[in-house]
Amino acid sequence: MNVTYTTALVLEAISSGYHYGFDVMDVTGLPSGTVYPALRRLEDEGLLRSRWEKATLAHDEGRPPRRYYEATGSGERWLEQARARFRLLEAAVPPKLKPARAQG
Amino acid sequence: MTPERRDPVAVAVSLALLRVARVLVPLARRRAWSDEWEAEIRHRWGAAARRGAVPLGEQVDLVRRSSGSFVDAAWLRRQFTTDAESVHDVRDSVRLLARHPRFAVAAIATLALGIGAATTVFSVVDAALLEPLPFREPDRLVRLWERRPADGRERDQVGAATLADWREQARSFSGLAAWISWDFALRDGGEPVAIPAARVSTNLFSVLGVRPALGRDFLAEEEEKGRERVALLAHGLWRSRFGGDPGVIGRTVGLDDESYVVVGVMPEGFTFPEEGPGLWVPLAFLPDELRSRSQRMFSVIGRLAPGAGLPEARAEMSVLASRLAAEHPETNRGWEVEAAPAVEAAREGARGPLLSLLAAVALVLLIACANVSSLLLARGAARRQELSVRSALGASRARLLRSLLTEALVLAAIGGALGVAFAHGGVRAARVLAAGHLPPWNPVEVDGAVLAFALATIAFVSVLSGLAPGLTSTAELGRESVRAGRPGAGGARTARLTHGVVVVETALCIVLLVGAGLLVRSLLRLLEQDPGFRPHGLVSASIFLPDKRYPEDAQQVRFFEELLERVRRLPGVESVGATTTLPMNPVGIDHDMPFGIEGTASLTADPPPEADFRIASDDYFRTMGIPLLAGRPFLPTDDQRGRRVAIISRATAERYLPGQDPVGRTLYWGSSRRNATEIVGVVGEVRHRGLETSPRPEMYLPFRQVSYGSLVVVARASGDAGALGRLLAQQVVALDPALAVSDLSTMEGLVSASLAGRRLVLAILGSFAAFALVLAATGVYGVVSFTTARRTHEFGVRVALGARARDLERLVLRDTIARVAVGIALGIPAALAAARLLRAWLFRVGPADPLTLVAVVGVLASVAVGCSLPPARRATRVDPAVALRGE
Repeated sequence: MNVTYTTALVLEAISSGYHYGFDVMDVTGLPSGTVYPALRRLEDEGLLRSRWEKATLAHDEGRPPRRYYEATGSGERWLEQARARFRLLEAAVPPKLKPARAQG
Repeated sequence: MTPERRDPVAVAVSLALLRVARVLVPLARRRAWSDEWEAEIRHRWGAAARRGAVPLGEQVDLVRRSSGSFVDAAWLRRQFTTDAESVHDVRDSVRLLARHPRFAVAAIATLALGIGAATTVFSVVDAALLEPLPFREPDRLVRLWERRPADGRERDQVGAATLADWREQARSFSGLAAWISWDFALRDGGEPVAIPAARVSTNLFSVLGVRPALGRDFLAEEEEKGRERVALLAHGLWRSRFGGDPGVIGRTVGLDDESYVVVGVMPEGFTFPEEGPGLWVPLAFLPDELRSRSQRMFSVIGRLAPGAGLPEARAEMSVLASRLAAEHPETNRGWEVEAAPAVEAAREGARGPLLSLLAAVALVLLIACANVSSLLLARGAARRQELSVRSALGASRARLLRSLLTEALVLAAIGGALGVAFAHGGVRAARVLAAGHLPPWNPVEVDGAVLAFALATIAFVSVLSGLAPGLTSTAELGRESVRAGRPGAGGARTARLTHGVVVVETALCIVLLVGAGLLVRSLLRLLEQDPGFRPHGLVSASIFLPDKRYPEDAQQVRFFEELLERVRRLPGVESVGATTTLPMNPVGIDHDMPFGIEGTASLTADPPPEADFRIASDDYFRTMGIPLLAGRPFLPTDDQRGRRVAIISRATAERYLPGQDPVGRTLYWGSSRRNATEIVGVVGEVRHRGLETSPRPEMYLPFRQVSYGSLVVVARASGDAGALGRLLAQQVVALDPALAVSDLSTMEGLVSASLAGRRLVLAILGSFAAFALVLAATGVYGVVSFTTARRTHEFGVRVALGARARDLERLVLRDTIARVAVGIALGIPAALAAARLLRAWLFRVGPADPLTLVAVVGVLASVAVGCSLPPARRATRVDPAVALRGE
């Protein structure tokens, strides 16, 4: 697939530990209308996979389970190439210090 | 989505946005999609709320993010639509076809017949040539023959003593088994019935790797004379005669005059050597069979030993053959061993004709594609306006091409489905027609491989018939020459392609017509052949006298004398005779006999010359209508007490006694050429082994001097030959109720049966050629109608400028004839090349037979002209005012 900076940035965020759509928006500053189609495309290409958060967790908060994204092996390799191309990619996403759930 | 009443405003607004955007998401993904979005929104709100009051900025941000769900949903919708375009195209094509039913029916019928014919032929090819034989490791099975290339004898059967040596000495085979087809009179209560059977080596079934479904296989010791009274039943006979009763094992059945114990039943569908044996009994050699090397009458199959290959086996057998030739020079000198994979040998006869038919049906299919192609081209021209609009609205050429190809695919799929239905019927017909002409082991049926072939054909057909018209129609879009104008017209490319269709159809059609024409000519030539006897009114039956019942030669002679006398007295019988084997008859004893004539080089020739050796009764020649050319026929006095006499054929006389009178000369026959016999007569030669064979040297001996327990009785009827057959059989049973008559047939039936394979190929190829001609005719008609329609304007101008109807007609015809001429010019070389494939089936007709070529070209040209006349006439009736107003 086309290596665009936006797509690479979304994947970089996922790979750095931002596993949910809204978290990716937070860290990249990209609008939802950009992030979600990018996620869909990355998943179609097999660079990402997604699963659903545990139902019990969601039930406690009275909402549907969140969709959890993570980079696949080929996603990580693709990202290596993207990093070579976009030098500042890694710097654009601050490393995540704590797991997402710990914040909540 | 789980909206709650207590939702804060920002969440409620976000969820409302989501609910609207949701509609865009394809149904299959809708639920997961809204869950994902709602979870994020609620999670975000929950996280913020837990920190205290949510600041307004964050609330606005949440709503803004939710509005992005529209972009996400629209993106998904677009993805889905691209995938679904093909569905859309299919729906569209079906709708279009329904709106033009005549076009649809013509195209679908053409493809259904083409695909149906191709699928049927392929199912036969698959069963006969492609599916493995139902034996264990069939590739390790080898057929073996004796051959003597010096006198052109390839693939003779094997003598019993030679076979015994092979079985004892050959190391490259884990097993060698022999068989000979045999008729038995089966008695189990009622009247005896003749059952086709086979005497087989006891290891035959283990060599083949097939086990009885019920009971046991033969034991090795059952090959010893005296222990061979056991039988294995074929599944079919077991069902029909024994009601499928498993208790049949151990039961005794009467075969000829002996009792046999049934030891087993072979599995359903198993048959060997070919179709037909109802049962198998061990091949225990009669003592005189076992001594004989020159009576080559046993078929042999072997399984290669582990580690041995065909080349090693061939080398070993060749050494073995030279040793036997040295040890038994009088019978084996010059004889070699021929070995070939059994699979190949089984398929050999069917391969040529089947591949020719496959090629023929491929041509028919190509013509069908060309026809549909031209129909689609006309449709493409008619759809030009629609295509232009779509193109203007931004549809790419690839997109339009895809819709046009979909149309072809829909046609091919419907046609293919109908074609497979046709093939089911075709396969049933093929089973009946081809019975006895094909290797019998695999049933001809529409199975997985055949369906895969049909699917591949559908794909091939849709691309082949759809691509050219699709490329042409889309290429012409947006060109100046075709800006929105006369509907039904097309550009220069369309015109070129339609003309191409005529050329291609003519060329392909010629190939098929020439093939069929050559076969027709060959058959006519064959029917003109003089068989050497007069088949009309002859009826025949085989009678076998079991040794046990008729142990003495004199008894056998007396039986046949009595039978011939009884038949002679029957009403409607002109004359009756008997012989060992009738011409054109696949069944019967027929072997070569070494001989020499005193006072000629033939007496000392080494190897000795051989003649077909037959026994004949007194009236045999008169009955058959074989002319007596010199001397006398056999007489009742030519018996054991009389002088040994023989009658030879003209071919024998001319070859070995050129320009001399054979009558009165002495002939010596037998492997040591010791039997001194006086030649008393010369008869005309007979094409014994088929109308297409040349007569071979023949010699006849009287049945009273050389007794045979198995003779064919042949009677000439003055009236209905069929009715006489039943009377003849009754006379046999009246003489001895234990006997059964087999192979009751009319001589005309035998002659016709000897041509059956050829007739079958001709009938199939002929119907393909006829179908191709009809397709080509409709194709030409369609193309001419289409091209004249698009020239209406031009014709209008011509008429306005003073052209007469006749001029326009000539104009149209000239164009058609020009295309057809190009097609003929291309087709003839192709036809000549293809005719070479048919060479084996041609008889006294060259592949480049001028008469056939002229006739075919004449037929095609007149059909083409005939088909372009009506549209040409229509074009000439153009009213210039109307034509020009169409502008």
